[in-house]
Amino acid sequence: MSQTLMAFLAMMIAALAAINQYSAQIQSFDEAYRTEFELMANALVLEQMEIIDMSTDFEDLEEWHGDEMTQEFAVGDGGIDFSLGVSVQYVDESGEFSETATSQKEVTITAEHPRYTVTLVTHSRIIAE
Amino acid sequence: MQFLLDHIASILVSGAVLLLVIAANLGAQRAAIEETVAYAAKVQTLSLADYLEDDLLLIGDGTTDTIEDVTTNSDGQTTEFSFWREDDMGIDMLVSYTLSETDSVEIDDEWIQLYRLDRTENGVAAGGGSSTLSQFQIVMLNSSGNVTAGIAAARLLRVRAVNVYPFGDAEDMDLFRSYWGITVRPPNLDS
Repeated sequence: MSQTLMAFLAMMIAALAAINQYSAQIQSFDEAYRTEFELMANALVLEQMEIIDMSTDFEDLEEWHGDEMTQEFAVGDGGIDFSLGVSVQYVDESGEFSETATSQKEVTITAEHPRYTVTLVTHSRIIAE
Repeated sequence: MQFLLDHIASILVSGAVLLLVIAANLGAQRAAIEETVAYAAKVQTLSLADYLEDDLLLIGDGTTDTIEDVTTNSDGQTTEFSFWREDDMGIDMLVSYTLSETDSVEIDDEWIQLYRLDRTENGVAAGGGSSTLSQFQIVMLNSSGNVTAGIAAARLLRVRAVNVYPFGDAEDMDLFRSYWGITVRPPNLDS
């Protein structure tokens, strides 16, 4: 009886060690995968920021506020879609939110992907008048 | 009889335990290799990224000309991208990035072509990037962010690259893909 229990114990310990190992492997894979998504999202957000900065006059920046768009990180035949959101607000000289109009606006762009529940990338840029 | 059964049972149990330990060990080894490969691919990709970004921002720096040529193949890969900038002596210099085919690897019955990215200054080799690229693309965007083929209209450059690292043996080969992209706004393309 005691031999059987010892045998079961040995098998359980070995099985637990194997499960731990596989869990760590999956976690490591997920992290590497997420890093790739963040890099792709980062590229799209920075491009959108440049486009807004380059194509829009200071007084018209509000037109982008609340804008949501789907952008594709395209490579070769395929691509991955990300959801981008834009917000624009006035900030003071310290970069803090201002309820009144100032000579600086902060443009913030976020990128999300359905695979992840949290925002992957957020970039802000302060644009002066 | 009982003695024999006890021995058979103990051999079976020890065999099962041994197999589990071996499987876990092999998994750990493979995971360690994958992590190393992923890290190496990422380091190489980001190193290329840093270099390219700094270089492209200098397009037209100190020169009247900017982008000289952008050549794309049928797969949408940028096979040549050349531009003018000033060298350290203040002399106009033509910098060229050239993409050329190297090896191809078979993964899951699919052949993947690998490319090498070479960099030259006035035709003389000067640095370069990875030889394990599977994708490389430089696209010109106009002031509205739309793709343009006209150099005069170009204001932004969208760069996309995929660096791949095959690992494993020939029968069971895997591929780690490292993606990178950036959009740069060279100040001299605004003029």
